[in-house]
Amino acid sequence: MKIVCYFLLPSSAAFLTQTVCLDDTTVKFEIWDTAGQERYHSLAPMYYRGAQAAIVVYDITSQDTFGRAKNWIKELQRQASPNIVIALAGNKADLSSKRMVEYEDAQSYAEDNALLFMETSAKTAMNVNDIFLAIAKKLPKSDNPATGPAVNRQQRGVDLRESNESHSSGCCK
Amino acid sequence: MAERSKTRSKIYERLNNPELRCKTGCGFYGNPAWRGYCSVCYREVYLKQQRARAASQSREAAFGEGSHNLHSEVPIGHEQVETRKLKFNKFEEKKKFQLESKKQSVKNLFKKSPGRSMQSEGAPALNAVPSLVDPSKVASGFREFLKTLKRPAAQDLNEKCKLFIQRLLSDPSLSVEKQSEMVHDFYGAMSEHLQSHPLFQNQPPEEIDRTLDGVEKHIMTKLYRIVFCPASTDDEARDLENQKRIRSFNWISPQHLDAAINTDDKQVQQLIEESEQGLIEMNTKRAPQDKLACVVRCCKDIFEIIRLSTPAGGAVSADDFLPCLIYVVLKANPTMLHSNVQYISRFCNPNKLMMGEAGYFFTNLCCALSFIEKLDAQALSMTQEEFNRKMFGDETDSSEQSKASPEPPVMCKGLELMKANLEILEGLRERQMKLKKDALCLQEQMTEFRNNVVKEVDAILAGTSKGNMFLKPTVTTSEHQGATVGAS
Repeated sequence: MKIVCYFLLPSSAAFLTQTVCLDDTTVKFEIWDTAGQERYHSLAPMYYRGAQAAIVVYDITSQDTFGRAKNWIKELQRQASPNIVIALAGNKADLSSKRMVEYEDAQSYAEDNALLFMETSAKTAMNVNDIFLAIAKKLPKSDNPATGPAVNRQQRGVDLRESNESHSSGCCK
Repeated sequence: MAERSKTRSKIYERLNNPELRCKTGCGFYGNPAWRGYCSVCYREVYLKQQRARAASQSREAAFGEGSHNLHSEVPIGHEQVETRKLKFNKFEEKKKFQLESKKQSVKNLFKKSPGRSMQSEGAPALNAVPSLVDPSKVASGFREFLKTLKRPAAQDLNEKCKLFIQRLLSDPSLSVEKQSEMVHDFYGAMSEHLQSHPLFQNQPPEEIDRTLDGVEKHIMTKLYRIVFCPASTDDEARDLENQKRIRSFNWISPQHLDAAINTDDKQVQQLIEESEQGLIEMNTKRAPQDKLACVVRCCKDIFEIIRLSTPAGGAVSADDFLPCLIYVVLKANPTMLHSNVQYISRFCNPNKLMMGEAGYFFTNLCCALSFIEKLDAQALSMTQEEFNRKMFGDETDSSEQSKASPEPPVMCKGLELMKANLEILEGLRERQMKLKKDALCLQEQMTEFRNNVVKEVDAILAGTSKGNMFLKPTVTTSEHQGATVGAS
């Protein structure tokens, strides 16, 4: 996951797991990274097939990535499973001096499209856990009738992001 | 005379020695080689022993007893001979034992009947397949499962598997989609059944997962023959098409795909080969999870390749991973890739494909295959012209190409070899023609020479018949002819 710091990462960041505690349940996320290059765009449906949540990440220092994030969201709303939880994350919040995408713009876009929205920073780990927690809260609970402290709910999410989004930052992918 | 009678009495003495007689007292002479029996009695004793051995239950026990019996029969005087015999007998026994156990295991291998023997068959067959993916762990896990299946408490599981396999095998009219659905339903039913099974009541959930894995491997190994690349689908045609297509992409380099592979590095080269090996080996496995394990191994190698190729380090994202995987697939050109992918997605436990690392890697492999099937100029960010030139040789600007190299570019090794062979053949033909010409020339010369000689001889004869009467003409001729033959 792009917005998870290195010290949280196993050997590969393409496939990750993240566990958050929600009330008395632990929710285990599996994060499947997709290749962001344009030439591999057409393959993305194979990754988000069956996913219960998607995090679309853009870079707040680039208007272009925000535009492409919107395209991804449109595609997800059209093609992914109807009850998929979509979250929009404005990454590199620590670089607010170079900000090109206003918080309010993204916030209102998210509200219009019923998305979760947060500005995050992989560098400072700001909001990283929070966004997962927010997703966990929003996931349909029907699939775990026997919820108890020991029961793990497994969720699979997919992470979509523009390939040129976060490479300059030292600590995030 | 006295001496003679002395020796004779000695012989009599010896012959009358009771120790030399057969131990049964039949009156015939015995032989140490037959343990002091005569040949007839030894045969009887031997057969009796054999029968006794066959009757005894445990071979090992019979073995011990047999050698013991042997000892009790040994007359004290022939100890040395007997120990040698004993060794020989032991050896025979051992050989027989080995032979029998071999026969047994071979029989087990070929036994088709499902049931108890079926399980004992699974283990040796499994061992025969060389497996590179942690073989001890995989094999022992499955053997453990087969042991579980043999337990009386698990008899119902065994029955269920058997029935299901028979149901699928006996109905050839089922479509592959229907088969896949049935297998998935079976996994589901089995999972539920195991949750409430008395055998797994106090077991951790991992134990159930392991048993489910075993069930999957067990039934899919049995069904493999009819459900892998079935004739009712176009799997085989697509395999061939893909293989041809990938072969025509042999010019694609990592740069074309945005893959960060440092192909100069020796270690990277070796890892690329290993990961290719993983993909190729997938076709040799039968159970879906074994095939999946090959994919996982290949992908792990790819992560290592990327790590070595990017000295800056850092986590590997899908941006690096997928291109690299595509490159490896193109290079490996694995046999029946499409069929294998289809087989896994149809018959692997769906939980494994939608979740976990293996699921992620398998999804990536599907993506790589789909990308390759649709690969065009745009996907490689090159112009159509450039793409065509790479794909079909020098169609667009042949003039430039022909200037650069008068020979048309040779695409593959086989063609190259064929061309070289044709050249050699042409050379051989030329040489043969030349040889034939020379031979004809020589023949002509020989005829001419002969004619000349005959003429000369005639002329000489004509001369001698007039002047010199001493010479015998016949001798001269034969001498001359002899010389001709020698020359030829």
